[in-house]
Amino acid sequence: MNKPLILIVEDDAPIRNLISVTMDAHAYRHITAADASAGILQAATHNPDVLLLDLGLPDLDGVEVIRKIRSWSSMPIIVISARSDDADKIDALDAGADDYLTKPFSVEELLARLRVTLRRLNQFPQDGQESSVFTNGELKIDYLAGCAFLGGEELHLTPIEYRLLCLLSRNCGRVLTHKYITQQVWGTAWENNVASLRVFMATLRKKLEAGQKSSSCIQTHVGIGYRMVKLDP
Amino acid sequence: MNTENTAKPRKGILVCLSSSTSNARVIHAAADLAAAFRGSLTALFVETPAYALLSEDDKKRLRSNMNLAEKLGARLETVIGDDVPYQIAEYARVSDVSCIVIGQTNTVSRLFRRRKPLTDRLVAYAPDLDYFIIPDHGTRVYVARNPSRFDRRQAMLDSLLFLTSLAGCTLIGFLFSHLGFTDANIIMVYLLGLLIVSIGAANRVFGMVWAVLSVLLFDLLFTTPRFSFYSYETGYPVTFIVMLAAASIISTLAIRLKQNAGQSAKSARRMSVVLETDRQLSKAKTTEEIFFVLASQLTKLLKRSLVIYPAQGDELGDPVFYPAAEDTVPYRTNDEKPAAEWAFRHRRRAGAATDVFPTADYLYYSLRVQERVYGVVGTAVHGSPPDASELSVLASVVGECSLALENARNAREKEESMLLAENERLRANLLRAVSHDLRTPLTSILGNADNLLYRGEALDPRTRKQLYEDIYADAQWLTGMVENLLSASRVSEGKLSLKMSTELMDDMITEGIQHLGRRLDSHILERRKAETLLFVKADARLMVQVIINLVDNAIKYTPSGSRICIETAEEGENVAVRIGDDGPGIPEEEKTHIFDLFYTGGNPAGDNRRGLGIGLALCESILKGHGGSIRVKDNVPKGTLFEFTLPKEEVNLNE
Repeated sequence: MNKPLILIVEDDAPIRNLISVTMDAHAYRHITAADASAGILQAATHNPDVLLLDLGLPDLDGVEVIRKIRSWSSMPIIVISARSDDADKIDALDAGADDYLTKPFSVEELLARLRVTLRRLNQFPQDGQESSVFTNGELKIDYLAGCAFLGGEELHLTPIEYRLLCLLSRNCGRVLTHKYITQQVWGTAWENNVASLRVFMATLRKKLEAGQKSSSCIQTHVGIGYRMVKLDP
Repeated sequence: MNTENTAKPRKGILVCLSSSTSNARVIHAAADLAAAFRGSLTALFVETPAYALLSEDDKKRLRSNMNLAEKLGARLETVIGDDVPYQIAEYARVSDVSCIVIGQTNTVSRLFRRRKPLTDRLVAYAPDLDYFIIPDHGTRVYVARNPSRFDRRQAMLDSLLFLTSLAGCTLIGFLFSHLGFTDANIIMVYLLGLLIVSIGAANRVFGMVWAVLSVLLFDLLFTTPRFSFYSYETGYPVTFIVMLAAASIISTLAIRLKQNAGQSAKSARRMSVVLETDRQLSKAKTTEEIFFVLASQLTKLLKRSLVIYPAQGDELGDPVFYPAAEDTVPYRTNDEKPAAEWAFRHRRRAGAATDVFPTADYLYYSLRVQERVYGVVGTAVHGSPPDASELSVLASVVGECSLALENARNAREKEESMLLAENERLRANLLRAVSHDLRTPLTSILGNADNLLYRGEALDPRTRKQLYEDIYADAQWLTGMVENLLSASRVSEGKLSLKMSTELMDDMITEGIQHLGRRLDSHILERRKAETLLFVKADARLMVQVIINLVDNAIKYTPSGSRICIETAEEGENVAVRIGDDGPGIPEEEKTHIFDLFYTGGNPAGDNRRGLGIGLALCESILKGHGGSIRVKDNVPKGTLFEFTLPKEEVNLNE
């Protein structure tokens, strides 16, 4: 398989340089763009595997770039933001971004996020074609039968827990915001639903962790949302 | 004398209002006097029971006199009472008035006594005031005339009472006469009947008629010869006269009693409304709350619709309409706004029942204290102008609300300036600390990078690695500091900038630990989670910062290989988080200071990186902002234990 191609859209030269060097050092192919219009053009012409996108671009807001790219492509987008406010990240995620990184970030963190995203690509090699069975580490979900298994044992889940698990597994690797999840599961994004979501998520995670020594495949992003990560087989 | 007067701070001048045509002259004279003395002018109207009986023309004249007084800068006041001079004197006594301007009115001679002129009686009540008497010949004072409103139902009831009492008394009279009681007893019975009729009937005519009729009946039925008005005994004419006099006095007294009762009820009601308004105003803190109190009290009291225009800077804001229950007339903002604007600009009354915009449907008062106007309040008139007592209640409630608005504004300003001063102090301290303490890591980064850039080849690999590590550590330290400074700025912006949501405590701890990343590699971390799911209402970002700061401190101040334990537990209504280590611990005398801002402790290891002394102070203020608290204790068997608590949050599940 070809080495994945990474598109870096970042207006700050030292950061762009830092990411380029890191990509080189870890044998990823990469192309760069310094503003939004060049970035969109590169994305359209080269169809990269992953897009690393800075939100604060000189010509267009990063969230707009995500909306534009999402209109034709579902390529994974990792947002890089110097804004510490959670609201910006949530906007970007709701617009269709897969993950986010806050400046200052460490190189390891960047690489870890990239690996998670690329694993997701391997999980669903073709877009839109979902298999009826999902496996991730010990976890196995049979969408057709409507049941989930952990290490061969059937999991006893409440209807909402099962729906949450399905939602996360279908978007494995993506950070889903609280708003998105409550809208999908309850149909509304009321504050009370967000609180309920935390309870259901906590009980779901407890059930998923029961048989395992390590922590479960569901990550909590405090103040943002949840993500299921693809565990190494 | 003039110099003496000007030496006094301000002379209070009181002018008495009446419905007489010459009252305008009196008001002008009082205004001139007030201007000459540079004194304050108060226009007082004493509302007597006779007020209700005034003709429409008189009422109109009274209103125009009131308007005139107000135009000349007088404060309008109304008191209720029967005895005009007594009310004036009382008002003057309690309100610091030193000078009274009054029209000399013609006195009215009554049947039984000739009253002294008003001014004489006034002087008798308050002898130590200055009086200016303006001759006022040829005008009438208002006197009670027959009530113009004739209440048919009341008259029927009164007549019924009258006739039954008369019949009853006469029957008892026959009984007594049959039993051989003396005539005096019968007279007593008629007197008793007189008392009942005088108190029971609304009109005093009944009492007088009773007096005459009872004497005639007595004469006719009980004196010998019977059934004739002629009497043999010489003493009887005296009895008749005494009876008549008693009847007249009793009915006068009874009627006055009733009037006084009505008046005290009225003033008691007014008093209670003003007190109630006061009580509610003392609870109201914001402008909106004060407006709400004003509207609810006035609609309740006057049963008229109300409209309030709040001031927005130098402009009048959009009106808020408070319709009374029975008022169905909609408020026409476009027609009414000019009158409200005028009241706002000129700080005086305008609209219906005044000379300014008299065609308006509402009467507007500006809510003001001296030169500052807080808004305009309008009360519905709909063709029936409020009477003097309504106006007075309106004026006093409006005055109370204006004062409350002024107080609220002052309190707000004071709070803002205190906050500003506190922020300024914090900012200054922060700047000082930042400029002093951030220089050290920056110098190290700059110097190390410089060495590596230009002399890197000359250094041996181990030294080079050391320099890289130093740059990394310093940059990491700066990163943490920037996060703390950002959090501090958000906390100092106040509660509003906290983004509260219901969070799982253990999730936030996990997030904090993730942030610390590799720094934890040198220590052994242990987690003890509570059995149940513990939720708190918190700003997640700030709470994660608290955990980072506390764990980071534990890493920083204990040797590598030390054990750090994070425990969550439920404690009654609270969620407790304990972060303990088995390091050297904190001396007792430092424990009281470690939460102080910019306290960095007598750090024994001089080469250790010093903090800004904002980490723990920040933790404390974040927790206080969340309604929680933080403490430091000695860990068992050794080390330090930080414990913080937050109010527990219950979650209702939506399934």
